Amino acid sequence: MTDRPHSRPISRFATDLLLGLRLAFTGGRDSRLRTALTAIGVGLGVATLLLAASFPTVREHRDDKLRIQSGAVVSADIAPRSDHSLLIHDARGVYRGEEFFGRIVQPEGPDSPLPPGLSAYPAPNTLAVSPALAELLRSPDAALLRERYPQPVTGTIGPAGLAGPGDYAFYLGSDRLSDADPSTLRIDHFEDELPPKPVDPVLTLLTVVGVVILLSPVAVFVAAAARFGSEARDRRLAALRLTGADRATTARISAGESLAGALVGLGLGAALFLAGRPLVEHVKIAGLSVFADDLQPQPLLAALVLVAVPLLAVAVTMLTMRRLAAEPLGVLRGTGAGRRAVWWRVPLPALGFTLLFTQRGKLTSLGDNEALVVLVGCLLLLLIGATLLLPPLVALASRALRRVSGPPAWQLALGRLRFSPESAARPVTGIVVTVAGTIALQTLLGSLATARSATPAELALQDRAPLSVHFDAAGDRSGQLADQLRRSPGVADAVGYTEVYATAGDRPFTIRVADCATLTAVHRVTQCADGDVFTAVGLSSGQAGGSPLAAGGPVTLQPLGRPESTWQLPASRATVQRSPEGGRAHYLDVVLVTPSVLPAELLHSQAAMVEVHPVPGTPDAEDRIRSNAALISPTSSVHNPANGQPDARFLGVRSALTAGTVAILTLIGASMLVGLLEQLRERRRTLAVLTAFGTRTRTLAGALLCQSLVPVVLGLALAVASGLALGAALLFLVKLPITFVWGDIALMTGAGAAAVLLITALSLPALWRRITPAGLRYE
Amino acid sequence: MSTAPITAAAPDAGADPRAEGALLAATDVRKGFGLTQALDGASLEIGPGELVAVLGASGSGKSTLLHCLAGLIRPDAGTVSYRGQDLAGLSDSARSALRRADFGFVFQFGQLVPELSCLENTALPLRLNGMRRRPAEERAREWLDRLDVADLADKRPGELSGGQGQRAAIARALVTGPAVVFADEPTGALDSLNSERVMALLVTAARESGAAVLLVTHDMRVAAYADREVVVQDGRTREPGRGR
Repeated sequence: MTDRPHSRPISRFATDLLLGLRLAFTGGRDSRLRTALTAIGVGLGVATLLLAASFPTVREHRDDKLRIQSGAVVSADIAPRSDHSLLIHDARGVYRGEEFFGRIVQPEGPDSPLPPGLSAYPAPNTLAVSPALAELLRSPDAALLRERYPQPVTGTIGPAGLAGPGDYAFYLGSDRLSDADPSTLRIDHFEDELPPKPVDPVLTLLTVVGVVILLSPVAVFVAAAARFGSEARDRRLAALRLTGADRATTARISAGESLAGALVGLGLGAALFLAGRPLVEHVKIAGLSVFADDLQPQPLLAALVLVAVPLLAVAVTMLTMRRLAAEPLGVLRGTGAGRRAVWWRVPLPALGFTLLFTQRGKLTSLGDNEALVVLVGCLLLLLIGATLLLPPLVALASRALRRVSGPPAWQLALGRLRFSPESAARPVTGIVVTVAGTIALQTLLGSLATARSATPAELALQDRAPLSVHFDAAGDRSGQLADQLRRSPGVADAVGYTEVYATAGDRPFTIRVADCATLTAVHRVTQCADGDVFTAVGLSSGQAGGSPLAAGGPVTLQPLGRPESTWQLPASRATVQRSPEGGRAHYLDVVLVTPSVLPAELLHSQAAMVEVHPVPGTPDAEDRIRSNAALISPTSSVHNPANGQPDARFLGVRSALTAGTVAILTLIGASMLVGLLEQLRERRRTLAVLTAFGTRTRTLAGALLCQSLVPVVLGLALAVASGLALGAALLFLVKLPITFVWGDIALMTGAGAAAVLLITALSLPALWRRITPAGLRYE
Repeated sequence: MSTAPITAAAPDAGADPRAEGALLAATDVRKGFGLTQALDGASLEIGPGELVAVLGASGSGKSTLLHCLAGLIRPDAGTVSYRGQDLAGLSDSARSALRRADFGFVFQFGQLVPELSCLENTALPLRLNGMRRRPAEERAREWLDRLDVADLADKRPGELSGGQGQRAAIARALVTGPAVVFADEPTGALDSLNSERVMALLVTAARESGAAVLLVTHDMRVAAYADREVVVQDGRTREPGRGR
C-alpha cells in the first residue's frame, strides 16, 4: 500500500483489487456480513438476468416445436396414400379463453409417422392428451369440456410434442377421416417447417422497449447491491489511508471488496437460477408456459452477465469513490456534489430524446440491427439519464425543504437526506426506471390497442355478431346443421349456408348458398323460391351504383378441394344491400343462391357454415356451442369474431409487462429493505443515543418513513414525468396520437408508493431491536 | 439564563448536597447479561446539584450502573428511584419522557447525530419536548455560545474536532435544564488539554444551571472534578473513606 512508483498500473490495479477481495473475506464479521449482503443482492439480480438471458433459447425451442406441429397440416407438399401415410385434420379449439392445440389423426399403415410426443397412435375415438389438459378434464369445473371431448383418454403427449408444460393439446384417433374433405391432409412426415413468420415492427418495438425497461432496473439493482454496506466500508478506508495508501489505492481496494460480493453473488445467482428453474413449469403467463429444460441461458448472453456484473461492481465503486475524500482520520463526503454534478447529467436524457426523434419513420426497418441498436441506446440514455438526475434532485429538495419547519422526525430525515443524497437515492433509482419505463410502455400499448381495435360502433356490432361454426364436407346439409344447433341450450337462433369462391373476369366474389328462409331472415330478401339468385352489394358496388354480377353470365367456380370450372351464373331476381357481418361492413358483393342452383355434388364437398346467435347473458354460451358443434362433428370448428382482434394480441405483452413489473418492484423492494436494515445496523449507536435522551420510538419510525418517502416521492414524480415524455416520444415515433392511460399511470405510481410503505413497515421490527442501550456500549 | 461564556473552573469541592436529600438513588442493584453479572448489589445516591464520579476499570459495571440510574435498562433486582419514585414502576414511555425532561447525556463519542448541524443537534432535545423550531434553536444557540462553539453552529459533527464535538454535546445535554446530567467517559476520546477544558466547561455549566452530574470515568484526573467518588469493582460500589 505504498506508492509503488515502479510497479505497472495494471499490476498495481490487480494487487489492490486482490487485497480488497481478501479483506472482504478476512476483515472480520462485519466485512463478511457486508460481502454476504452484496452477494445476496447481486445474486438476486444475476438470477433475474440469467432468466432473461434464457428467453431467446426458450423462444427458439418453442418456435421449433410449434413449427414442427403446424408444418404438418399447413404444408403444401401432400403425400400419396401409402403404408407410411397419415390423414390429419386440424381440430384446435378454445375453452374459457384458453386455446387448445388439437389434431384428429388416422394412420393409414403400420409405418405411419408418429406425431412428436406420442409413442403410439390413439385408437379410433380415443384421446391422447397433454398432462395439463388431462388435469383440466379431471377438474370439477370442466363439465362442458368433458361434453366436448367425451372420448376416453388412453395416452399422454410427451414434452417433445408440447411447446410448454401448461399447453392444452390432444390427438384424437379416428377412422372416419377422408381425403375428400379439403381440410383433411395426407402427410408422411412431421418435419416440415414453416418459413419464419414476418415480424410485426410494432411488436418488435414493444418487445425491445419491454426488455430494456425490465432489464435496466436489474442492472441498476446490481449496481446498488454492489454498494451495500458501503458506508461502513468507506470508514474503514480511513484506516488504510493511515497506513499510507493513496486515494486511488483505497478506491481500488474498496472496489476489490465490492468485487468479492459480486463474485459470490454470481455463484449465488447461478445457484438460485438452477434451483428455481423447475418452478417455472408451474407458471403460465398469457397462456404461455415453459419447460424447465428449455430454460437455458443463451451462451453469449450468459457470458455477458458473467463479465458485466463484476465489471459493474468495480466501476460503480470506483466512480463513487471519486466523490469521497477518504482521509486518514475519517471519511469526509463531498459536499455540494449534487449541485456541481447536474451539468453532465441533464444532457444524457436530452440526447436520448433527440436520437429517438431522429428514428421517426424508420420503424419499418426495425428488423435491421442498426435501428435496434439505436433504439436500445436511446431508451438506455433516457432511463439511466433519469436515474442520474435523482441524487441532485434529492439534495436540492432536502436543502429547500430545510426551511420547512416540521416535527423532529422530519428534521432527522431531512438531515439524513442532506447528509447523503446519493445513498438515499440509490435504492430508489430502480423504482424510477421501472415506473418510468412501464408508464411509457403502457402508454404505447394503450394507444396501439385503441388504434388497432374496432371503433365503439364496430364493437357494438361485434357484440351482436354471431359465432361462426364450420363443418367440413357438409355443404349440402347446412340447413339441417343449423336446425341441430338451434335446438341446443343457450342458442337464440342459427342460420346455415355454404360458400363457394368464384371470379367473374378478374373480379373475385363469393357465392353463398342458403335456403329461402335463411336468405329472407339474413339478407332481407322479400320474395324467394328455390332456384332464385340474388345479388347482395357491398360498399364497392353500392358506391358505384350497382353490381355487374346482377346480370349473370359466365363465371369461374373455385370450390375447395375440387378443380376450377366454368359455370353460367343466372341473372339475379333482385339486388339487396349487404348487411354488416362480424362487426364490419363488407366491401365486396356476394351472390346469394338457393341450393338447387348449384350441382348437389359440388355443394356436398364444400363446408357448411352455421351462424349461431347465443341467448344474451347465457353463461359459457360460446363453450356450450363449441361442445355441441364438436358432438355433431369432431372436425367442426368455431370462430368468434369478437376474438382475435388486433388489441387481443397486446394482451399477452401487457400481462407479461405487469408480471415483469411486479417482479422488478419486488426485487427493488428487497434491495431497499436490505439497504434500510444495513443503515439501521450502521446507525445503531446514533439510534441508541437518541433513545437515551428520550426520543420517542414513533419519532424514529417517522424519521425512517420520511427518509424513504421523500426520495421515493421525488423519484416517482421524476418517473411519471420521464415515463410520460418517453411514452409521448414513442407514440410520435410510430405516428400515433398522443394519449395517456391515466388509470395505469396511477396504478404504477401507487404500486411504487405502496412498496415504500411496505418496506418501511418491514424494517420496523429491526428498528425496535436497534433502539436499546446496547448500542451505547463500547468497552 | 445567563448567556455569558463559561470560563474554565478549577475542581471545586462544594457543600455536601446530600444533606438536602437524594435526588437519584440506586439501592442494591443487580444486573446480569447472560452469564456475566455486571452489577451485583450496587448502591449509589446523588443529591441535587451534586457531582459524583463513578470510577472503575473497564468492564467493572460502571456504565451499566449509569444506564440503570438513567432508566435506560431495568435492573434484575434492587431499586432505582428518582425524586423518591421507583423507576421500575414507570412505563417505557414515562421513562422516555423523564429522560427528555429531567436528564441530560454526554457520551464518549458518536453521540451527535452525524447528519444534523451542531445547532440542530443541540436543539433536538427541546424539539423532542415539543418546543417549536425557532425558539428551540435560539436557546440552543445561547448554549453553544456559552460553551464557546457558537461559530460552529452550522457545522456537522464530522467537521468538528473531538473537543468541539464534546462541547456541543454538553450544550445539548444542558439545553433542557435537566436535573441530572449523565456523563459516560466524556473525555475518553480527548487529549489531556482538551479533557481538562471540556471537564471544566461541563462542571461549570452544570453548577450554574444547578444540575447534578453523574460522571463515569476511569481517569483519576477527571474524577478530581467531582464532589465525591464512588468506585465500582466486580459489580459492587464502594465509596473511598465511607466503607461501602
